[in-house]
Amino acid sequence: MTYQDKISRQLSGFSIILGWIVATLMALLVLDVWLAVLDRYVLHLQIIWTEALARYIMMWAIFLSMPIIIVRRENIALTFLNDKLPPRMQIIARIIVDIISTLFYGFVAFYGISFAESGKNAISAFFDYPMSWAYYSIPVSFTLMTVVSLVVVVSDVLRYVGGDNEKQGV
Amino acid sequence: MLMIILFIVLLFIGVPIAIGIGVLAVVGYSELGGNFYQQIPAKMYGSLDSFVFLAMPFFILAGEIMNKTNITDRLVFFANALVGHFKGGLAQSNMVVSVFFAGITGSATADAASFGRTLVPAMERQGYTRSYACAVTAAGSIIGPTIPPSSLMILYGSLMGVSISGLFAAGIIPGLLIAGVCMLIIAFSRKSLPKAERRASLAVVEKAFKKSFLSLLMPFIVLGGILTGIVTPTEASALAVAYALFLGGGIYRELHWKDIPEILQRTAITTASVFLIVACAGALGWWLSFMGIPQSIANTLLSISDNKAVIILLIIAVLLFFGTVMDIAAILILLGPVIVPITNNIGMDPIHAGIMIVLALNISLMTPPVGACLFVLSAVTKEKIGAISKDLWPFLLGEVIVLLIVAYYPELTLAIPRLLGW
Repeated sequence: MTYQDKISRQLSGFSIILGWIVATLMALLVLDVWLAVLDRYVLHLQIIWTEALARYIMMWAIFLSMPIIIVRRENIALTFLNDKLPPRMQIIARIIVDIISTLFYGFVAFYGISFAESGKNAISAFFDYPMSWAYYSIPVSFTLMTVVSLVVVVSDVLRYVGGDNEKQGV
Repeated sequence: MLMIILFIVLLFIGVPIAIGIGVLAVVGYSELGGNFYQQIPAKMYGSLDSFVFLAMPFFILAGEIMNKTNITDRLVFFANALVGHFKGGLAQSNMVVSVFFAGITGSATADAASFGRTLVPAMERQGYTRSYACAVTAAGSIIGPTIPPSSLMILYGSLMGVSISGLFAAGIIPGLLIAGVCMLIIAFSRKSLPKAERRASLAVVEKAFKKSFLSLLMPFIVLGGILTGIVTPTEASALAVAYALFLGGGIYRELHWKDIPEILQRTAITTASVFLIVACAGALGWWLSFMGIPQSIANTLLSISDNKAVIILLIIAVLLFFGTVMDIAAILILLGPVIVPITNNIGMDPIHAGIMIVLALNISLMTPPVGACLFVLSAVTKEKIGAISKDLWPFLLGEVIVLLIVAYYPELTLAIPRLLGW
């Protein structure tokens, strides 16, 4: 097994685990809003935390989905120019793109920590937990995105170098 | 200006749109000084943290569930019984199904993908060329986000502080107009198009209606709830999920427990790819307005002419142009602050202006060379975008005409919202 195969196997394993977490959060989100609707029209228990909780869960579910998008290379991008390049050039262009993306993810992850810390003393209305619990969805997800994106860059570089070897072999 | 060049370069080398916008935001904030960097994640978070936005993943989820239940087959069967005997019968049905679907999902690209897999092959079997089948599907796909529910309207309403329910009500007539115009274009096409041999008997129509009745009921429940003001859009979206589950699992029995995790995950991923763009555009948008850029662009546009009709035309041209090269959610966030004050300035009703903007952006989803619906269809059906475009232009022209009618005759858009008291 080549390094690339190992890497892509690790990555897909990682995205499966993350996928389960996301699916669980989404299920909780649906149940939470159902409870809110049920309470407003039927139960009348005046449960006040459903809306705040829904926003917390939504943020985590959505941000944690983003690393999966990177693994699957499903980011919305214009590819019509890239597709016209010769295969070798396509890999180079992709490496450049991935490096730029990695830097951006890293940037958001780094500054996201101080942003999340800033929410420590802010208590959400109707919901007795500090906002930082929700804010941490950003640094956590973007750290994962940085790591995943970095792994993708490395695997692309390996493919590029590997392609060279194959040519020399012929 | 430098920023625009940087952005174009980034996009053309294939940087994802969200990242391109994000990098611009970093460059912009760096002008303000390093203390502002922490504001980027803060603004990204802030632009998503809204209870109203929950309606987007929920409507996507309801659509995904309905898609799992062969709903397309049932609806096509019914549509065919209604319009199959006209010229280009199945193409006409495609439009009618787009209208039915519009009340269930709110995303043009999702409609294009699911029709590309089901209706395009069916049309090919009946003797349509693949490019024509794709063109019809692309033209119909924008009905989805025009007739409510619509993700773009949710985004517009929450960003600009316009009633989402009002926008939903206002989208109905323009959406039906688009369907009608496209059906006329098919009927008067110079191509010889296949049709069903004879008109379906009343008994067949009745059977088809019975089979699809419960699916057709969904938009009425959802929209009825929202338009009468009984439930909020978010609550309605949660009800739509419940109804879809009830139909798929309880009535049609085509949905199984094991399908659920994958559906949930796909919904989250679809939402996340849009929300990442929204988040980054939100961060960039804050910098733009901090620098007063939207205001100065708006002033420039207003200085070109003080004729209301000319300004509306300018706005439409700008939206269609940007829509061909950029994600429409991002355009809404970045250009919204430019355009909305202008429309206020010339005295347009906020709901009317919203529908015009949303419709223009929807149409730009199918304009060559880079409309998202064309991309999706081309990817699903393996037909070249160039070939689809050749068959697409009559529809495009028709839809732009509808857009102009909508823009210049506010009564058309505002009739239903006024009737309901907005």
